[in-house]
Amino acid sequence: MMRTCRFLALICVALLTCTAQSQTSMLRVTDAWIRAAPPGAMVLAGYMTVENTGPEDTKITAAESPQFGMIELHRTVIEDDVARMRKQPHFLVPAGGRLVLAPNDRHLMMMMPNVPLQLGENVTVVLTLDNGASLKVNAPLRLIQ
Amino acid sequence: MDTSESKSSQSNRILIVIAVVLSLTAGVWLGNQVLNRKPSLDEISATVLNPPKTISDFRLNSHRNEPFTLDSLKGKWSFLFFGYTHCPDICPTTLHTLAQMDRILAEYPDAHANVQVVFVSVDPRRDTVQQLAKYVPYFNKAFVGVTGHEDEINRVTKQLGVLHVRVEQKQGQDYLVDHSASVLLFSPKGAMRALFGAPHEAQRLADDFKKIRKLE
Repeated sequence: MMRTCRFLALICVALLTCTAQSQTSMLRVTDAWIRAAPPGAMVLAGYMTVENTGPEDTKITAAESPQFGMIELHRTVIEDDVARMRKQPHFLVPAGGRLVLAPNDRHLMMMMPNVPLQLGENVTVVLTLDNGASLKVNAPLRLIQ
Repeated sequence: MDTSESKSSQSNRILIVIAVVLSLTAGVWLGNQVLNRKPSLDEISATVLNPPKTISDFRLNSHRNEPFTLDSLKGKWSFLFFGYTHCPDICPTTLHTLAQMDRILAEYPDAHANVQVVFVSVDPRRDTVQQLAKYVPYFNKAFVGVTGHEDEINRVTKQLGVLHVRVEQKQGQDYLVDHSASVLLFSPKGAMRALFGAPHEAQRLADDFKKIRKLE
Protein backbone atom coordinates (compact mmCIF):
# COMPACT_ATOMS: atom_id res chain seq x y z
CA MET A 1 0.00 0.00 0.00
CA MET A 2 2.79 2.33 1.08
CA ARG A 3 4.67 1.46 -2.06
CA THR A 4 1.68 2.16 -4.32
CA CYS A 5 1.21 5.54 -2.65
CA ARG A 6 4.84 6.44 -3.11
CA PHE A 7 4.65 5.31 -6.73
CA LEU A 8 1.54 7.41 -7.35
CA ALA A 9 3.17 10.41 -5.68
CA LEU A 10 6.21 10.01 -7.92
CA ILE A 11 3.99 9.89 -11.00
CA CYS A 12 2.21 13.02 -9.80
CA VAL A 13 5.53 14.86 -9.33
CA ALA A 14 6.70 13.68 -12.75
CA LEU A 15 3.46 14.83 -14.36
CA LEU A 16 3.61 18.22 -12.62
CA THR A 17 7.19 18.72 -13.74
CA CYS A 18 6.21 17.82 -17.29
CA THR A 19 3.36 20.34 -17.26
CA ALA A 20 5.62 23.00 -15.82
CA GLN A 21 8.26 22.32 -18.41
CA SER A 22 5.83 22.37 -21.29
CA GLN A 23 4.42 25.65 -19.98
CA THR A 24 7.96 27.07 -19.89
CA SER A 25 8.47 26.15 -23.51
CA MET A 26 5.29 28.08 -24.30
CA LEU A 27 7.03 31.25 -23.20
CA ARG A 28 9.38 32.86 -25.64
CA VAL A 29 11.60 35.72 -24.57
CA THR A 30 12.90 38.18 -27.14
CA ASP A 31 14.82 41.46 -27.03
CA ALA A 32 15.99 41.02 -23.45
CA TRP A 33 18.44 43.69 -22.36
CA ILE A 34 19.77 45.50 -19.34
CA ARG A 35 20.11 49.23 -19.61
CA ALA A 36 23.73 50.32 -19.27
CA ALA A 37 23.92 52.73 -16.35
CA PRO A 38 26.37 55.39 -15.21
CA PRO A 39 29.29 54.31 -13.03
CA GLY A 40 28.25 53.96 -9.42
CA ALA A 41 24.60 53.26 -10.26
CA MET A 42 23.30 50.88 -7.61
CA VAL A 43 20.08 50.10 -9.43
CA LEU A 44 19.68 49.05 -13.05
CA ALA A 45 16.65 48.18 -15.14
CA GLY A 46 16.00 45.07 -17.26
CA TYR A 47 13.61 44.91 -20.20
CA MET A 48 12.30 42.17 -22.51
CA THR A 49 9.30 40.89 -24.39
CA VAL A 50 7.74 37.61 -23.23
CA GLU A 51 5.35 35.84 -25.57
CA ASN A 52 2.98 33.15 -24.37
CA THR A 53 2.05 30.74 -27.15
CA GLY A 54 0.34 28.40 -24.69
CA PRO A 55 -3.31 28.11 -23.71
CA GLU A 56 -2.81 29.19 -20.10
CA ASP A 57 -2.11 32.54 -18.49
CA THR A 58 1.29 32.51 -16.84
CA LYS A 59 2.59 34.81 -14.16
CA ILE A 60 6.19 35.78 -13.55
CA THR A 61 6.37 35.93 -9.79
CA ALA A 62 10.04 36.61 -9.15
CA ALA A 63 13.39 37.12 -10.82
CA GLU A 64 16.97 36.64 -9.73
CA SER A 65 20.44 36.91 -11.17
CA PRO A 66 23.82 35.71 -9.96
CA GLN A 67 25.16 39.13 -10.95
CA PHE A 68 22.76 41.13 -8.75
CA GLY A 69 21.96 41.14 -5.05
CA MET A 70 18.23 41.41 -5.61
CA ILE A 71 15.68 41.87 -8.39
CA GLU A 72 12.14 43.17 -8.00
CA LEU A 73 9.29 43.43 -10.46
CA HIS A 74 8.43 47.10 -10.89
CA ARG A 75 6.26 49.41 -12.89
CA THR A 76 6.68 53.12 -13.55
CA VAL A 77 3.39 54.97 -13.64
CA ILE A 78 3.12 58.63 -14.53
CA GLU A 79 -0.04 60.09 -13.02
CA ASP A 80 -0.80 63.80 -12.75
CA ASP A 81 2.76 64.40 -13.83
CA VAL A 82 4.20 62.46 -10.92
CA ALA A 83 6.34 59.43 -11.69
CA ARG A 84 5.72 56.60 -9.29
CA MET A 85 7.62 53.35 -9.26
CA ARG A 86 5.67 50.53 -7.71
CA LYS A 87 6.63 46.99 -6.84
CA GLN A 88 4.39 44.48 -8.61
CA PRO A 89 3.46 41.10 -7.05
CA HIS A 90 3.73 39.51 -10.50
CA PHE A 91 3.80 40.19 -14.23
CA LEU A 92 1.04 38.47 -16.20
CA VAL A 93 1.84 36.90 -19.54
CA PRO A 94 -1.65 36.25 -20.94
CA ALA A 95 -2.38 33.07 -22.90
CA GLY A 96 -1.76 33.79 -26.57
CA GLY A 97 -0.54 37.26 -25.68
CA ARG A 98 2.59 38.96 -24.54
CA LEU A 99 4.17 40.97 -21.79
CA VAL A 100 6.37 43.91 -22.71
CA LEU A 101 8.90 45.24 -20.24
CA ALA A 102 10.03 48.65 -21.54
CA PRO A 103 11.40 52.02 -20.38
CA ASN A 104 8.87 54.15 -18.45
CA ASP A 105 6.70 51.08 -17.93
CA ARG A 106 7.07 47.61 -16.42
CA HIS A 107 10.67 46.59 -15.79
CA LEU A 108 12.93 44.45 -13.66
CA MET A 109 14.49 46.59 -10.98
CA MET A 110 17.95 45.10 -10.56
CA MET A 111 19.67 46.11 -7.37
CA MET A 112 23.18 45.84 -5.99
CA PRO A 113 25.28 44.67 -8.96
CA ASN A 114 28.01 42.36 -7.65
CA VAL A 115 30.63 43.77 -10.01
CA PRO A 116 30.58 46.64 -12.49
CA LEU A 117 29.17 45.35 -15.79
CA GLN A 118 30.67 46.09 -19.19
CA LEU A 119 28.75 47.04 -22.32
CA GLY A 120 27.75 43.91 -24.22
CA GLU A 121 28.22 41.67 -21.19
CA ASN A 122 25.52 39.06 -20.74
CA VAL A 123 23.46 39.09 -17.59
CA THR A 124 21.73 35.87 -16.61
CA VAL A 125 18.24 36.38 -15.27
CA VAL A 126 16.15 33.51 -13.96
CA LEU A 127 12.41 34.15 -13.97
CA THR A 128 10.22 32.17 -11.57
CA LEU A 129 6.80 31.27 -12.95
CA ASP A 130 3.62 30.64 -10.98
CA ASN A 131 3.49 27.04 -12.19
CA GLY A 132 6.69 26.28 -10.35
CA ALA A 133 8.87 26.31 -13.45
CA SER A 134 11.63 28.76 -14.09
CA LEU A 135 12.94 30.39 -17.23
CA LYS A 136 16.55 31.36 -17.84
CA VAL A 137 17.12 34.50 -19.89
CA ASN A 138 20.33 36.02 -21.20
CA ALA A 139 20.19 39.79 -21.37
CA PRO A 140 23.11 41.82 -22.69
CA LEU A 141 24.01 45.16 -21.15
CA ARG A 142 23.41 47.82 -23.76
CA LEU A 143 22.66 51.50 -24.25
CA ILE A 144 19.10 52.64 -24.73
CA GLN A 145 18.40 53.30 -28.42
CA MET B 1 12.85 103.50 -85.96
CA ASP B 2 15.59 101.10 -85.08
CA THR B 3 16.84 103.37 -82.32
CA SER B 4 13.39 103.78 -80.73
CA GLU B 5 12.85 100.02 -80.84
CA SER B 6 16.15 99.33 -79.17
CA LYS B 7 15.37 102.04 -76.59
CA SER B 8 12.03 100.49 -75.76
CA SER B 9 13.54 97.00 -75.47
CA GLN B 10 16.23 98.47 -73.20
CA SER B 11 13.67 100.09 -70.95
CA ASN B 12 11.73 96.82 -70.95
CA ARG B 13 14.85 95.06 -69.80
CA ILE B 14 15.34 97.62 -67.05
CA LEU B 15 11.74 97.14 -65.95
CA ILE B 16 12.24 93.38 -65.83
CA VAL B 17 15.40 93.77 -63.76
CA ILE B 18 13.59 96.12 -61.37
CA ALA B 19 10.69 93.67 -61.10
CA VAL B 20 13.05 90.78 -60.39
CA VAL B 21 14.95 92.78 -57.76
CA LEU B 22 11.72 93.92 -56.15
CA SER B 23 10.24 90.45 -55.99
CA LEU B 24 13.49 89.02 -54.63
CA THR B 25 13.56 91.71 -51.94
CA ALA B 26 9.93 91.03 -51.11
CA GLY B 27 10.66 87.31 -50.96
CA VAL B 28 13.58 87.77 -48.60
CA TRP B 29 11.56 90.18 -46.47
CA LEU B 30 8.62 87.79 -46.30
CA GLY B 31 10.92 84.89 -45.56
CA ASN B 32 12.46 86.85 -42.72
CA GLN B 33 9.03 87.75 -41.40
CA VAL B 34 8.09 84.08 -41.37
CA LEU B 35 11.36 82.97 -39.77
CA ASN B 36 11.52 85.70 -37.15
CA ARG B 37 7.89 86.04 -36.31
CA LYS B 38 6.87 85.25 -32.79
CA PRO B 39 5.25 81.82 -32.76
CA SER B 40 1.75 81.59 -31.35
CA LEU B 41 1.33 79.57 -28.16
CA ASP B 42 -0.89 77.10 -30.03
CA GLU B 43 2.15 75.91 -31.93
CA ILE B 44 3.95 74.99 -28.70
CA SER B 45 3.02 71.78 -26.91
CA ALA B 46 4.76 72.81 -23.68
CA THR B 47 2.93 74.96 -21.14
CA VAL B 48 4.35 78.47 -21.46
CA LEU B 49 4.18 80.61 -18.32
CA ASN B 50 2.99 84.18 -18.79
CA PRO B 51 4.37 85.94 -16.93
CA PRO B 52 7.39 83.74 -16.18
CA LYS B 53 7.58 82.46 -12.60
CA THR B 54 10.30 84.04 -10.52
CA ILE B 55 11.69 82.28 -7.47
CA SER B 56 13.76 83.39 -4.49
CA ASP B 57 17.46 82.57 -4.22
CA PHE B 58 18.72 79.16 -3.06
CA ARG B 59 22.09 77.63 -2.19
CA LEU B 60 22.87 74.23 -3.64
CA ASN B 61 26.02 72.53 -4.96
CA SER B 62 26.90 71.35 -8.43
CA HIS B 63 28.51 67.96 -9.09
CA ARG B 64 31.72 69.94 -9.72
CA ASN B 65 31.47 70.98 -6.08
CA GLU B 66 30.75 74.59 -6.96
CA PRO B 67 27.89 76.64 -5.51
CA PHE B 68 24.72 76.43 -7.58
CA THR B 69 22.38 79.34 -6.88
CA LEU B 70 19.72 81.35 -8.67
CA ASP B 71 22.59 83.22 -10.36
CA SER B 72 23.69 79.93 -11.97
CA LEU B 73 20.41 79.96 -13.91
CA LYS B 74 20.88 83.51 -15.19
CA GLY B 75 22.30 84.29 -18.61
CA LYS B 76 21.39 80.81 -19.88
CA TRP B 77 18.39 78.83 -20.96
CA SER B 78 18.20 76.02 -18.40
CA PHE B 79 16.32 72.74 -18.62
CA LEU B 80 15.72 71.39 -15.10
CA PHE B 81 14.77 67.82 -14.32
CA PHE B 82 14.20 66.56 -10.78
CA GLY B 83 15.03 62.95 -9.98
CA TYR B 84 17.44 60.66 -8.13
CA THR B 85 20.25 58.33 -9.06
CA HIS B 86 18.71 55.23 -7.42
CA CYS B 87 15.88 55.50 -9.95
CA PRO B 88 16.62 52.93 -12.68
CA ASP B 89 13.90 53.68 -15.20
CA ILE B 90 12.39 57.13 -15.72
CA CYS B 91 15.39 59.21 -14.58
CA PRO B 92 17.97 57.71 -16.96
CA THR B 93 15.31 57.65 -19.70
CA THR B 94 14.63 61.37 -19.27
CA LEU B 95 18.33 62.26 -19.05
CA HIS B 96 18.92 60.23 -22.20
CA THR B 97 16.08 62.11 -23.94
CA LEU B 98 17.55 65.44 -22.84
CA ALA B 99 20.94 64.37 -24.23
CA GLN B 100 19.23 63.52 -27.54
CA MET B 101 17.52 66.91 -27.50
CA ASP B 102 20.89 68.56 -26.92
CA ARG B 103 22.32 66.77 -29.97
CA ILE B 104 19.37 67.96 -32.09
CA LEU B 105 19.80 71.56 -30.89
CA ALA B 106 23.54 71.41 -31.59
CA GLU B 107 22.66 71.42 -35.30
CA TYR B 108 21.16 74.90 -34.86
CA PRO B 109 23.87 77.12 -33.36
CA ASP B 110 21.38 79.95 -32.64
CA ALA B 111 19.12 77.64 -30.68
CA HIS B 112 21.96 75.80 -28.95
CA ALA B 113 23.76 78.89 -27.63
CA ASN B 114 23.62 79.33 -23.85
CA VAL B 115 21.73 76.14 -23.09
CA GLN B 116 22.32 74.08 -19.96
CA VAL B 117 20.67 70.92 -18.67
CA VAL B 118 20.44 70.56 -14.90
CA PHE B 119 19.57 67.39 -12.98
CA VAL B 120 18.41 68.32 -9.48
CA SER B 121 18.43 65.47 -6.97
CA VAL B 122 15.35 65.04 -4.80
CA ASP B 123 17.27 62.42 -2.80
CA PRO B 124 20.14 64.38 -1.21
CA ARG B 125 20.61 61.68 1.46
CA ARG B 126 22.03 59.29 -1.11
CA ASP B 127 22.91 61.70 -3.92
CA THR B 128 26.09 63.28 -2.70
CA VAL B 129 28.20 65.59 -4.86
CA GLN B 130 30.50 62.60 -5.53
CA GLN B 131 27.61 60.36 -6.55
CA LEU B 132 26.30 62.99 -8.98
CA ALA B 133 29.82 63.54 -10.34
CA LYS B 134 29.88 59.88 -11.39
CA TYR B 135 26.30 59.80 -12.63
CA VAL B 136 25.36 62.99 -14.49
CA PRO B 137 28.29 63.48 -16.95
CA TYR B 138 27.66 59.94 -18.23
CA PHE B 139 24.68 61.30 -20.19
CA ASN B 140 26.40 64.44 -21.46
CA LYS B 141 29.64 65.96 -20.17
CA ALA B 142 28.07 69.42 -20.09
CA PHE B 143 25.07 68.40 -17.95
CA VAL B 144 25.09 69.74 -14.41
CA GLY B 145 24.12 67.64 -11.39
CA VAL B 146 22.83 69.57 -8.40
CA THR B 147 22.31 68.48 -4.81
CA GLY B 148 22.48 70.04 -1.37
CA HIS B 149 20.74 70.36 1.95
CA GLU B 150 17.26 68.86 2.02
CA ASP B 151 15.73 72.15 3.21
CA GLU B 152 17.26 74.07 0.31
CA ILE B 153 16.02 71.50 -2.23
CA ASN B 154 12.56 71.68 -0.68
CA ARG B 155 12.67 75.47 -0.90
CA VAL B 156 13.25 75.24 -4.66
CA THR B 157 10.76 72.45 -5.35
CA LYS B 158 7.99 74.07 -3.26
CA GLN B 159 8.26 77.31 -5.18
CA LEU B 160 8.11 75.46 -8.47
CA GLY B 161 5.35 73.06 -7.51
CA VAL B 162 7.66 70.09 -8.05
CA LEU B 163 6.44 67.13 -6.02
CA HIS B 164 8.69 64.56 -4.41
CA VAL B 165 7.76 62.07 -1.74
CA ARG B 166 9.90 59.38 -0.13
CA VAL B 167 8.19 56.00 -0.21
CA GLU B 168 9.51 53.61 2.42
CA GLN B 169 9.81 49.96 1.49
CA LYS B 170 9.83 46.87 3.66
CA GLN B 171 12.51 46.78 6.35
CA GLY B 172 16.03 46.51 5.07
CA GLN B 173 15.11 47.71 1.59
CA ASP B 174 16.02 50.99 -0.02
CA TYR B 175 13.30 53.60 -0.23
CA LEU B 176 11.90 54.89 -3.51
CA VAL B 177 11.06 58.49 -4.34
CA ASP B 178 7.92 59.52 -6.22
CA HIS B 179 8.75 62.66 -8.10
CA SER B 180 7.50 65.09 -10.70
CA ALA B 181 8.28 63.88 -14.20
CA SER B 182 8.17 67.33 -15.84
CA VAL B 183 11.08 69.17 -17.38
CA LEU B 184 11.12 72.85 -16.46
CA LEU B 185 12.60 75.52 -18.70
CA PHE B 186 14.16 78.64 -17.20
CA SER B 187 14.85 81.73 -19.28
CA PRO B 188 18.16 83.63 -19.06
CA LYS B 189 16.43 85.98 -16.60
CA GLY B 190 16.41 83.10 -14.13
CA ALA B 191 12.62 82.68 -14.21
CA MET B 192 10.62 79.59 -15.12
CA ARG B 193 9.31 80.11 -18.65
CA ALA B 194 7.79 76.76 -19.59
CA LEU B 195 6.91 73.29 -18.38
CA PHE B 196 7.21 70.16 -20.49
CA GLY B 197 4.97 67.33 -19.28
CA ALA B 198 6.01 63.66 -19.49
CA PRO B 199 6.43 61.49 -21.47
CA HIS B 200 9.23 63.41 -23.13
CA GLU B 201 10.34 63.22 -26.73
CA ALA B 202 13.64 64.76 -27.86
CA GLN B 203 12.43 66.23 -31.15
CA ARG B 204 9.38 67.80 -29.55
CA LEU B 205 11.45 69.31 -26.73
CA ALA B 206 13.87 70.79 -29.30
CA ASP B 207 11.08 72.14 -31.57
CA ASP B 208 9.21 73.70 -28.65
CA PHE B 209 12.36 75.22 -27.27
CA LYS B 210 13.29 76.86 -30.57
CA LYS B 211 9.83 78.49 -30.63
CA ILE B 212 9.93 79.54 -26.97
CA ARG B 213 13.30 81.25 -27.52
CA LYS B 214 11.65 83.43 -30.14
CA LEU B 215 9.00 84.60 -27.66
CA GLU B 216 11.62 86.56 -25.71
